[in-house]
Amino acid sequence: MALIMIADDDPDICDLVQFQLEQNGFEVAVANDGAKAIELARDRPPDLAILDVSMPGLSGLDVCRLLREEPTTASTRIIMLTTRIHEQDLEAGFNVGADDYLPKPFSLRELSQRVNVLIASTRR
Amino acid sequence: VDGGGAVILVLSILAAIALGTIVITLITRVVRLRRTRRRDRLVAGPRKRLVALLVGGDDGGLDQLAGLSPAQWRALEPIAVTMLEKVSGNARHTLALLFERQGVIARALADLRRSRFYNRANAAETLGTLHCRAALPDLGSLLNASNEEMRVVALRALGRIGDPAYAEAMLDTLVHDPTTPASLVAYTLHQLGQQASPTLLHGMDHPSPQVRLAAITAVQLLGAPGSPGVCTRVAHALRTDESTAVRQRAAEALGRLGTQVALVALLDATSATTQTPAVRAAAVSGLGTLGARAAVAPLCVLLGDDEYSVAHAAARSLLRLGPEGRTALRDRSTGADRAAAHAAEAFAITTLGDRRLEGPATIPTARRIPVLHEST
Repeated sequence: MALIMIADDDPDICDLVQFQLEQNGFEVAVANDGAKAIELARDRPPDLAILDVSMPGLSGLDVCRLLREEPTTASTRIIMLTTRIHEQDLEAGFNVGADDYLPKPFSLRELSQRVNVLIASTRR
Repeated sequence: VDGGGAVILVLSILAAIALGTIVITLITRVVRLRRTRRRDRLVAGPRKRLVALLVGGDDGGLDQLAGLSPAQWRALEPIAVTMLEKVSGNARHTLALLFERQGVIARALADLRRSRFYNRANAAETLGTLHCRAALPDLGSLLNASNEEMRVVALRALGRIGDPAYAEAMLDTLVHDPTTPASLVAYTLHQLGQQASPTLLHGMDHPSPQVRLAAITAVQLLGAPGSPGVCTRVAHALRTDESTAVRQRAAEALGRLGTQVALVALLDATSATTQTPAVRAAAVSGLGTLGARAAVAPLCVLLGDDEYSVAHAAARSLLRLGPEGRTALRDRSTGADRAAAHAAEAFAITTLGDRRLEGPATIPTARRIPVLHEST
């Protein structure tokens, strides 16, 4: 069973995404800030991480960069969730190694499909 | 009462006041805490059900949530409202259905016509958040309300609902009341999407500079010319508009629109003697936003401009033009003139940026993460 990590300081988003992904048969780990996300990822590298860009302390971009630096998490697929949708924000996300970007408000079904595509790509 | 007695009396009164304040504060906190706990208890079950419903994992959830007691719904409603702003698609549609079943929409539509500002403003916010099209006529009327705050709330609600038929009325609020922030009008207009482009095009010809500014700002926020002629019209505004603010905004907008017309207009504006330094600097920044390699050579020339803001913007824009811009900056940074100083400053910043990207991210000391050992 693929492990997906969600890092978002908004408990509503965490609950919604966790419920959605568990319904789809994934195992889900939740972190409410960036530091906790790094701890979780180091403890057990996820197949995919969904990161909120704006979190207190370590931002989603920082977490993404750190995950890419760790040999154990360098190949983890990463989706950034954000309300920042300007070109430079997208560019910043892709520059630190994000695989995909989803602006808030987002469709749970769309997120689910993007997760499926990225997880499938890790298994090819 | 002698002197000592008076002091004791005053001290006693002060002590009584302090004690009373402490007691009142404690009671207030206890009451609030109990209220919060009661609300948390009330909402725990319905919240779980709401999450399941939005994910599509609870078929009977809508009926159950629609049948919540008034106290439970009062506790759940703020959570449901905040979720409305976080999800789209089916989940949002389901939430809107829930609000309708709970009678929220009917109540808000009625409140929109009440005399108290508080009721009308709350109702407008709710209906806007719910994208309730039935509220459009009343919200449109509220754009002419005598209360300035009410007009702003109605604007925001109309922007959220996103019907381009109201674009002209939204722009006209700036004519009726010039104190309405043009940036707010522009933001709400951009929420209407590309369908508002024809109205924005007309807005750029309006006699009021505020209206022209809002129209061009909305085009900038949209980031693409939605109608034929929009880019040419913005370029025309950059060349000829009598308002400096409008010309400056036109330069910024052209940078985002990214067409050949924009490139030519921006290059012209960087060296036009009729333009103010602020507009020239905005045009130079626009070239960086545009990202055209053809701008590298003209920007290198502008590094030596007498106006600090223009030269500084040229250096920053070169940074944004990719490897060619950086190479040009590096080559230009070795001299001893003003241009070299601007180039060196910008180049130093990009070097810092590169190092940050290559090196580990900064981790706040107070929350430092344990070092990862090879074995983990």
